[in-house]
Amino acid sequence: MRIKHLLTLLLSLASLTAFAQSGGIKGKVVSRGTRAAIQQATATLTPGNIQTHSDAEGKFAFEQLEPGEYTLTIEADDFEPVELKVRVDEVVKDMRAVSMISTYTETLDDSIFAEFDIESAGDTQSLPSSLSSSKDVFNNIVSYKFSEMRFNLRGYDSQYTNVHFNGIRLNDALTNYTPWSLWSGLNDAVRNQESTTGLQAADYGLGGIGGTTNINATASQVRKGFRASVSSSGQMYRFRAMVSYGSGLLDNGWSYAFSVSTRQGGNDWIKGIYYNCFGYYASVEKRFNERNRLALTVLGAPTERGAQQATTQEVYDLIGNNYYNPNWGYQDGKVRNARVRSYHEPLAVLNYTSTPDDRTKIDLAASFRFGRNGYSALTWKAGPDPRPDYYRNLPSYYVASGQMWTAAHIAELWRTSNNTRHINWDQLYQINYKGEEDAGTYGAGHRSNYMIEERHTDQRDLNLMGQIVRTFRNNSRLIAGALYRWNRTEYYDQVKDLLGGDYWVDIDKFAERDFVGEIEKQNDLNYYYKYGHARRVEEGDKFGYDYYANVRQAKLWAMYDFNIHRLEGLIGGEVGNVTMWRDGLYMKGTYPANSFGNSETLDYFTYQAKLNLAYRFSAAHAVEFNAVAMQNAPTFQNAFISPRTRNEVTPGLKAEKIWGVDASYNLSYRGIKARLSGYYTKINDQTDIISYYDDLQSTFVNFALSGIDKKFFGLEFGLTVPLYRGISFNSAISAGQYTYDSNPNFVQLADNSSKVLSDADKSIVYWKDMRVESTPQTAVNVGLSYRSENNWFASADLNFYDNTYLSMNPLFRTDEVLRPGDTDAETAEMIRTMRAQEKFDSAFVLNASIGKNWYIHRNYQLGFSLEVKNILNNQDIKTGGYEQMRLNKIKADESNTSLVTSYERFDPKYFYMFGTTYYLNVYFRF
Amino acid sequence: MKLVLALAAGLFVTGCYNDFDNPAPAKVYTDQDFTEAGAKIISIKELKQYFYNKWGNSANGLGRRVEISDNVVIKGKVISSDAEGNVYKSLYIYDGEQAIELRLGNDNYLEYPLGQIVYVKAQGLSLASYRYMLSLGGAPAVEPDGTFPNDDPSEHDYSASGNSNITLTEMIQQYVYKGEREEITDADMIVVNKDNYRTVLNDNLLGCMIRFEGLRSCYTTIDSNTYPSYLESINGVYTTRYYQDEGLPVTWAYNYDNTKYYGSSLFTFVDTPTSLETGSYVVRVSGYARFALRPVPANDAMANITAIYTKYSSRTGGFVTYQLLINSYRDIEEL
Repeated sequence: MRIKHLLTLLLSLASLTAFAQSGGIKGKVVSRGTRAAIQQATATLTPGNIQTHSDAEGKFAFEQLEPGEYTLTIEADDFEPVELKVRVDEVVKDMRAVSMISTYTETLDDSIFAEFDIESAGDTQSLPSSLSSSKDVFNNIVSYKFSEMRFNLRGYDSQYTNVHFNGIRLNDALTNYTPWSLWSGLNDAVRNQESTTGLQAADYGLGGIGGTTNINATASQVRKGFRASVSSSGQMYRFRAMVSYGSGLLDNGWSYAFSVSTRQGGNDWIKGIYYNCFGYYASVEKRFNERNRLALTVLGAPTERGAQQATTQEVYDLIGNNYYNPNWGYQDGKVRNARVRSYHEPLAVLNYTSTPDDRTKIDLAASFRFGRNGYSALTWKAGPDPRPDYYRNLPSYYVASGQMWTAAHIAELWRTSNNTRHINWDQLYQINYKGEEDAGTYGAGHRSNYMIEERHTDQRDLNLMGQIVRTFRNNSRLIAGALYRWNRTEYYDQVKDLLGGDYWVDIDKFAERDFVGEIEKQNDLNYYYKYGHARRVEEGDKFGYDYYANVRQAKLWAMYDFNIHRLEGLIGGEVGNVTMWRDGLYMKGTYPANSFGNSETLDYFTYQAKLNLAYRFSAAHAVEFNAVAMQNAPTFQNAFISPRTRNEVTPGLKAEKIWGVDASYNLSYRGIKARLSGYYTKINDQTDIISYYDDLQSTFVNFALSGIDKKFFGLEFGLTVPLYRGISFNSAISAGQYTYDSNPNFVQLADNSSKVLSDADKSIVYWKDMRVESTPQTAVNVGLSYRSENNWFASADLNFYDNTYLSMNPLFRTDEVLRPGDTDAETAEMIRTMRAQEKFDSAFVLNASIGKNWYIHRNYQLGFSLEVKNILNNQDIKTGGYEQMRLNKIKADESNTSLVTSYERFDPKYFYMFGTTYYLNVYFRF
Repeated sequence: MKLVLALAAGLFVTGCYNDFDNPAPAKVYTDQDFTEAGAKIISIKELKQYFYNKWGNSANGLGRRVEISDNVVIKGKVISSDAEGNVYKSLYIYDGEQAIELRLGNDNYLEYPLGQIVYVKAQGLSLASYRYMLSLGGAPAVEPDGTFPNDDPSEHDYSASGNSNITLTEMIQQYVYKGEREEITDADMIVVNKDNYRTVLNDNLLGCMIRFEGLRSCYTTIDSNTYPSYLESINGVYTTRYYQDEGLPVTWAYNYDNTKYYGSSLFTFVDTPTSLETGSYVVRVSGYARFALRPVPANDAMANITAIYTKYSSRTGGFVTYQLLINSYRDIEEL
């Protein structure tokens, strides 16, 4: 507040001394602490939405302005934005120094950055839709403060948020998930971000419904100077170190930047999780003259991470806490995790920018992503399921059939013995040591029964993008661009560790059980035909399945933005085409005719039309209205029903249609910032596939859902109010209702024969009006923050979450589970119980942070921040989970075990929010 | 500089996450491990006597059991294998005199392959009869009132089972211990043929591995049951089906289209079998057996069959049949 008054005063003084002839504004952006020039600050003048950037000396200027009242907003990476009212006359006003206060919250966001598992199968958490910083008052609060609850903005999955890197949209070509994992741990390098919210289009693309983020990571965009930080955390990893340097723009036109980081260790709550992660980033940029720039950026994050899995409440209760992780066990006294993500997917991006004249800007960019991405798991040929929390390894399974003696024994082992509570690695080794020998067929050694496989998704992703921005005399702009994407991803399984055995035989154990012939169980028939037996594979060899997912995308877009008096608007359109096919590298025994070679080619027309309108009543008040209609291609992962086995296209597959509107009121007055928005979105014709062992059909099945419609509407409210001497109040409220809006159809196929098992007339999932899962539909934040004049910072936030629902298994909501033997034994109550959706308890979470930085000789800066989350140490907050697909068969009596009278649901699996955690960061810069 | 050191330290710790030593081979148990701990090693015959002492020497039927309270251990060699999917959740062990079934989990061949010597701590386990066959397993399921069924002979429940399978690995390991790994030899099986089966075979050999030499495949009807056939089971309704009537080749069992049913075929030493009490044997094969769809020898074809010798009856103990449980397709030798 005080700063602003001071600036207004400066401004009035400046206006007296200004004497140029044409209207304009100029000034210099400096850091308040060091008075150092801030380069690459974005200065925006509204109305007109005219933008410029400060140069190496921090200077900026707007010329040839119409006289009138303007709002000047200055934003720079790592600094609090500054907003000023300016009156432009017939002269150029020199505002002299505009000082900005650096943010101390910078390091807090690190803790939530891209640390989530991406797993479509639903066995781990998915990425929240917003992880990026934003200047929007609401998004800024929710994206950081609600991340603990896997909050999804407006209820959308992360694939509806577009994430661009140096201008290129890099959402995954196969799943559309946001690509944060590519640069996880490289926070310094990707700190410079620009975002839009909701339906707003961005300069670098039309976006979608979930906002857009662009990361500017060319060398010149990285903060000038050296910077090093070390962090310690109880949340995910124990330790992080990062060193970065940005040269800024050098006199010879070059700039360069680099960053390296490492994250190591486990956390306070979940055993078995560990990080062994590195990050590297380098960028070099050459400004040839005022009009041409070329930049090359390369980054990668070699990562190895032990993962966590959800489990049932029964297990949590047996163990005595909600942080049990079934993925690990002791081997030789050391903790070993079976589920490890291991990837290194380098990304190289080339950017060329040209401004042939003052009104034209041309961007050309190319990116290439390559490398490997694996996720390990235990697999086995025969014998008991080695996963400790497999349902037959739990007391409840025996209690259900009255086997109390066994149940009590198992419960006791769960309470007392690591060999039952956790994976018993030693046992797996003992079995493998004695594995069968068949030197005649497979060569010397013991055949492993248990091993660790690593499922790979190795992408080759090429993007070529060009865009031209033409600014007209009336400051309206035409933006037109084109994109071509080429993606070929190899999916395959690889032997990672034979656990004491010598080889693995590449056969399909399910097919071996289901068929008695030799042909059906072969994963690679071509090999079998050539050698007369299945392949012997060893560590590092591919096996099981191997295919290419091919996706080609072409897209053209155009946007026109304009402002007429106080009305700013944008209309935009996009058309495109997505082509995809599967190319099988193995001929599968169960599908000799349609597993090897290319599938049919799927072709989808995509489009988008967008309208953004904003009317500014004054500098303080504005309203906004946005609308969108679009059609997206289905993702590759949903387009083929069982891509690991065959080329078959998912029945009922359609393009997804979306339309939505939102409207907002924005207030910006004397430091008070507020936004109130309402939104309504419909997503129609989604497809989903679940593959699982079906207890009704007694075989592995593919369950394909089509015609899934969803409806999202709600209100968003964000507010910050400066209260007194550096204390301000913030609040955000997200109150939505996200529901399924149709009863989708399903087709159930036997995975080994493709035989349709479901009854076409009754293949409906009763989902209409059920809730969309996994995000709180009500989330409220209230908080206070404090920033002192001597660079202390503190904040405290109380968050409230409600209306969070468990992800639903479609099978429980079908008639299939109600007709065991057509006995019609179910009562209305049983049907209700089977179909009911679990709602999580509401929860309060209290978080606080404190930080300080010191300037040493003006040029050096030393600082720390400490964040403590879940101070109330509430350990019963469910953040997500899923329902198992299996069913308990309730039998008439033991004498006739094939007579099932009804079915019961298996217990669902949950994730819980950690108890109290800390994140401490110490940094040094010059 | 400190930061650089810290970073270097971070790089240094890298290797430790995946550096695991292979565990040492498992302990091989010997008699002393048990005797020194105060247990008594008894024969399988002696163990079975616990049951007969309680229920009488010819006790049969479902649900009857005795819980072993003495600290006794039996020792035997594994003579069954579920590697080919016909034996299911059972492990038969033989001590040179008699054999007994242990009720365990799936794929016991991995841990307890043919020829493996095992010690079984019987204390706490339930020795029970299932249609004349004695087995050792966990305690049975309780009645809705929480009590065990048929512990009182006056309340014989013909639907209950007298014990249960032990399936959790660590729980099995609390009762079953591995000794030396040996081979199956001729000493582990009893050979019978048309001339001696009447004198050699008796119910003391139930559960033993028997080599039947010179059996004749017999497509016939006895006691209103026709062989070969398979038993269809749909939602609790059991129907006997005949391969020929269904237009199917005559196989050991039924395995089509993700559906698996038991098959029964008859082999005999008798010229014209009229009863299954002696000299004629039902080879019962699971639909899950790897050899389920192999052809059954033609009517009157001769075969040598090595199998576990078992007995089956109606719930109340009537309609006795002797059934052969085949470990491996190699154990069927068509002549």
